[in-house]
Amino acid sequence: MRPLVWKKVGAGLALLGLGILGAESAPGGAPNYLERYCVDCHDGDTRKGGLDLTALSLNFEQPGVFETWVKVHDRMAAGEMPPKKKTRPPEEATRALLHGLQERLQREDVARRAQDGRAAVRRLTRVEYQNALRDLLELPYLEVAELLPQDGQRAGFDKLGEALDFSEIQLNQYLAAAEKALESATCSQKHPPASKKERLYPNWIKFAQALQGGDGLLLKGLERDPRFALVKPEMKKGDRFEGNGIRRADFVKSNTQPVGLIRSSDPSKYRSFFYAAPESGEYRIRVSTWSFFLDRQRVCANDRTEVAALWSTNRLLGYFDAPSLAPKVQESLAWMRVGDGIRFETETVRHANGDIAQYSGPGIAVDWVEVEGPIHAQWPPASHRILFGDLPLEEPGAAAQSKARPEAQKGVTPGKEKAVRVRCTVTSKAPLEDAKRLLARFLPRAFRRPVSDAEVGRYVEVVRRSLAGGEDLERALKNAYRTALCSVHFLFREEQPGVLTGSALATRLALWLWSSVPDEELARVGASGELAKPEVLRVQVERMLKDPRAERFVVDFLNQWLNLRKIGETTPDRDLYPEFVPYLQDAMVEESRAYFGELLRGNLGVEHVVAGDFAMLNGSLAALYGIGGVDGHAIRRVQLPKGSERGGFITQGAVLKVTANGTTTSPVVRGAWFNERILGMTLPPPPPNVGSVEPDTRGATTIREQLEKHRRDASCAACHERIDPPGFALEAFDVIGGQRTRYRSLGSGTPVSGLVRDGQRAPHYKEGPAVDCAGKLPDGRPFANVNELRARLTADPDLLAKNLLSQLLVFATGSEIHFADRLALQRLVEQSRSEGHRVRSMIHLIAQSELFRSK
Amino acid sequence: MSISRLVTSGPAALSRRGFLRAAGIGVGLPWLEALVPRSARGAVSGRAPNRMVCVMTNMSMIPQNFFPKKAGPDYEATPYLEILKEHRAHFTVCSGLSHPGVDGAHLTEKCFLSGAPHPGASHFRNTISMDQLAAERMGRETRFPSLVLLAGKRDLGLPSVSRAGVSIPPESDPVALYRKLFVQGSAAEVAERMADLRRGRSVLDFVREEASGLRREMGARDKERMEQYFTSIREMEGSLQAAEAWEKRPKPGADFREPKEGPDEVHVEEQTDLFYRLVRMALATDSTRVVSLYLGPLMITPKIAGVTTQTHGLTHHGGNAEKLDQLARIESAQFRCLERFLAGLRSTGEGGRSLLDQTQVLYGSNLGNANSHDTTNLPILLAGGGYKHGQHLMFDRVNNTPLANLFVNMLQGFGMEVSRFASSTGTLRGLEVRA
Repeated sequence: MRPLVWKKVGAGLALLGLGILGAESAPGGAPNYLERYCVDCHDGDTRKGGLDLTALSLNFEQPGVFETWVKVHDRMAAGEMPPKKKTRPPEEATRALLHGLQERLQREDVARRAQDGRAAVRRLTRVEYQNALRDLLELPYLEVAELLPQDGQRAGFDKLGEALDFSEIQLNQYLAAAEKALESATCSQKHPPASKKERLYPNWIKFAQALQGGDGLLLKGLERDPRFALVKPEMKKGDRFEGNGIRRADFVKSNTQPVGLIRSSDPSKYRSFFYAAPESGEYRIRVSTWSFFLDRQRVCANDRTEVAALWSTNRLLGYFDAPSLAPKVQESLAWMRVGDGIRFETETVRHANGDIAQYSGPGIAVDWVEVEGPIHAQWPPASHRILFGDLPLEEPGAAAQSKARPEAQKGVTPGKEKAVRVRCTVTSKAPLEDAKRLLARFLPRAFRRPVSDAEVGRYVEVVRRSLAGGEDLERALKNAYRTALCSVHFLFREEQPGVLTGSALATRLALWLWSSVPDEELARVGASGELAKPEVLRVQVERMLKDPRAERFVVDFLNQWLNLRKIGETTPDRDLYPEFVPYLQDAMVEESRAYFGELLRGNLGVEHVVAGDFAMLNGSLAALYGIGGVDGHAIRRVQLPKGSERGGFITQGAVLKVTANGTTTSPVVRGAWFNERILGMTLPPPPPNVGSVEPDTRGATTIREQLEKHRRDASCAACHERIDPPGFALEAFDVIGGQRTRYRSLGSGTPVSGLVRDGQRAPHYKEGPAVDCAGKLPDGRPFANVNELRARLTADPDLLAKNLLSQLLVFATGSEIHFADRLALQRLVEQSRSEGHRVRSMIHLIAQSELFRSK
Repeated sequence: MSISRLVTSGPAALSRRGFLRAAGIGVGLPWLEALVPRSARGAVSGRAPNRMVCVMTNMSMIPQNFFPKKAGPDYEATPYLEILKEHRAHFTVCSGLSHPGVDGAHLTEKCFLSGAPHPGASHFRNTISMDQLAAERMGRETRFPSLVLLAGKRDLGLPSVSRAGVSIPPESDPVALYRKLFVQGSAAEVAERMADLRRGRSVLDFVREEASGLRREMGARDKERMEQYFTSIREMEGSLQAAEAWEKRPKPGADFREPKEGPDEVHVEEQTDLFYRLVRMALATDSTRVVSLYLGPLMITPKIAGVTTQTHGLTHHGGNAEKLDQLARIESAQFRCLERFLAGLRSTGEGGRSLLDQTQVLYGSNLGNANSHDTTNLPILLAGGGYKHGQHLMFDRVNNTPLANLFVNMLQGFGMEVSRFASSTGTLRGLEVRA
């Protein structure tokens, strides 16, 4: 067998174009290199690591071949191959081989790019699609993303063409989503619905039940209503307030006094007000709320500001501060659909147990809620004007009268419908001319480029045919718009290999920084070609970052880069983490977003990814982090105390939560996250049949002890020496991001003294085994805790910068970092270094880079 | 009993619903004939059709409550199998099965029926799932090539995967499902739906032509990617045509009334039961022959006696006895639902051939052990479909047998000539068709 193998490898090397090495000039003989040092393990029989060099093709057209050679190159370049234990080839030989390989791969990749460009053609992601429709139609509250199937991912992002498949399902849903959007955009009434203002008091049935069930008390001013006796709730027939001294008939729909609540509601007892939105639209909502501390039947001052919320089914209308004994009136603007109700939730006061008579803990009072709306800035709404301009709205003529569709009045109690309103529709004396005018305005925005008359004409033809087929003008126009919204020109990012056209560049920018399509200004400088000028591009990037739409970039990028989209996937165990409330989870995500926003705004250094002397906190987060002096819902910049183990994304609640499972933490999971997202490493999947660790909350063993066994195995240790260390440092933080020195246990351990704040019972959990955060970096340097790890990382800002630049590049361009991009990336790192590795500057660097400006 | 006596059409068949409701489902009615007006039926071939139901729960099962220790027909019933004891002769329990290389904890949900390896890898691409392969073969012979259903809550990709590698969005509203299957609507509504289907076809005509021009300007790789777009258009044109044809035919009736609203998702047992009833009805009326049902109670705190914690938290029980107890309550409820489903299938049918005999029911989970997120040794059960059942097929716990082997059996049982699927190495040893 041997000679055959040799021959093959030899032939392979010749093909590889290693002629440049010259067999003679390379010490040890280059063609002999692989056969001498590699094929012992990497042949057809042993196939170590799944690699058989004797069978590895040199036909780079074949899928996977190029990638495998890149891997060979990288392992050798990193000095990992040939392995340290085996005979080492002379260094020059390795260097020469690497050089040859590098040139060949580079050439191959450049050729590929010339033909196809770096980035594959791709459709919009579902986030981009929804935003695009919201912006195009000026429907800021439109929800169509959930109609679409989940997007695929590659290299951690959903922005890559290779992962954004198109299928019948997709197309089917695009048809449905476009229809929904157009329907939402269309107005069918001549006059706006009257706006109404209503004041609601906490007096509907569920509030009565809260009072009755020991979840709340009736207040008068800032005191307990003396008529209301706090008694242990008992099941009473006929739902009477007997024990409380208040008659239900006096309360329901007539009470105007505040109600204090000491427990959150579950879905079966949502504290709803007596309200149903009369129309779909935007509403102004005001609420008066405050908090108190109930100390054995006395309403006293609370030691912090609580947070209340108003919800409409599962949509948040707003969070509101509830300061101690000081009613505060706050306001928010929110969208409600017709029939939507409003409910009150005590976000920071959740798990009180036991009866109210004995309760010692915080509560939140609500005085009233005011709803005003629907609010319409103009009529017909902007969305309608985009589709139909100023075409007059008329009641259908006598002929069509019989076909007139009555308006649906969803959510309105049967029997209480208002007089059926006739659906008006747009009319025109010159329908095709109007269609042409409207489409000529709409299509360039939807397609993000100038649109020729001929192209507009084809869409006008759709209108003409629909009209000829007996459909009314509104429907006929909608048919054309719907066609445009299912067209490749809308759904796909169109780019030609080479330098991007101005319009394509504008689209790329908009998809990156707004997760949407360009606005008129950006489209204009794109179409005119101005955008190709570096200074114009710079001005536009600045403008875009300052625009509120840039928040979408922050959300979408962090969702993917840091995996924050998984934040809701686990709910922390209630016995182990009684202090966790869903509101805290929202705050965590807001913290990370606000932090990234701060890095962008202040153009701060890249070391802030892992370290920093400030954090973006609100009251709940500060309490979780053990930092005093921060109160209420608003997130603000807070200086961290000296010696704090917090700082950077890596110790933020959201990150610590998405890297845990709700019950336990694993250094492997957190380590893998850290390596991939912060250090920019690619980790191989675990080999088959490795078994898995069964987490233990009985306090018997720690995860570290369990892993030790694993790590003693040399074949496991090779990877885990790299993966685990950052995870060890982060063991100092529990599954919700609280700091710990001992693991919480539900079995053996030291009982915990003190009470859970929002209740009156001692926690269920005990203090289990001690946490050990020490570790060793792969290069052998030890660290004792996360701050020492931090110091090691911030000493190498190039590494952090290279990672952030890579992540941003993949997200911005929709392409992985290819072999041939490495030099360009290295240049970006150097440029970035010369500017002090600052985050906002990095955005500009990327926007100006050749990688971003070419397909 | 003479079949012809019960063959009716249109309104007469619907009026029979009252009778069927009164009679219940236990009397072995000639279901297909009674419930399906002739004109509503697909091109049903002479012999009784094959059907397939795949049920996956995403919360695993406590291994010791499910897996028997002993192999063969004399296995001792474990707590969960005890719930199914009435049907012991009608199912096979399997151990030592998994999908090789399918790792990544919850991410493996979308691979349960496809067997595509490493869903967490950055270059992962899913492949067609077994149920959808079967649905492809059915084409549009039935009103719905397949039903993909979700009882519960989940926003991860689900295991029914199209040929293009896309997880099919599930129907999770039982009332909407009922309407889709059994409610015709007024003439005006039908006309509006027809008009909309035609509008859809006009859109497709237009965008196909428009995109053809674009293709000429693209590089080879992009051209290849754009093929997906054209394939989608072609497929969807076919679907819209078929939908139009089906829209013209009356829908079958069901033997129970349209539910006012679906049970709240926390009422896991009631909700699952309702879905199972709808599945049984969909099969009985030959509205479809392929159903996939996902049970996703993971993010819910089910309203089940003794359960106070969200399911996901319970699955990470860390060995805690109280949590294991609560977890077992949820899993038992799921088995009670399965029990009632199997009973329903068994009592539907006639002439000694029950609907269960004609339906392969796969029941399992993508996790072998939720506490460790282990994706090997998956709990798997196969009921009905005309196999020799009543046994425990035990395979190696360390070197698992590919679950795809069982899928090959099932596809063959569905009448397809396949010898391989995903990572299969053959068919499942010991699983035989009843003569």
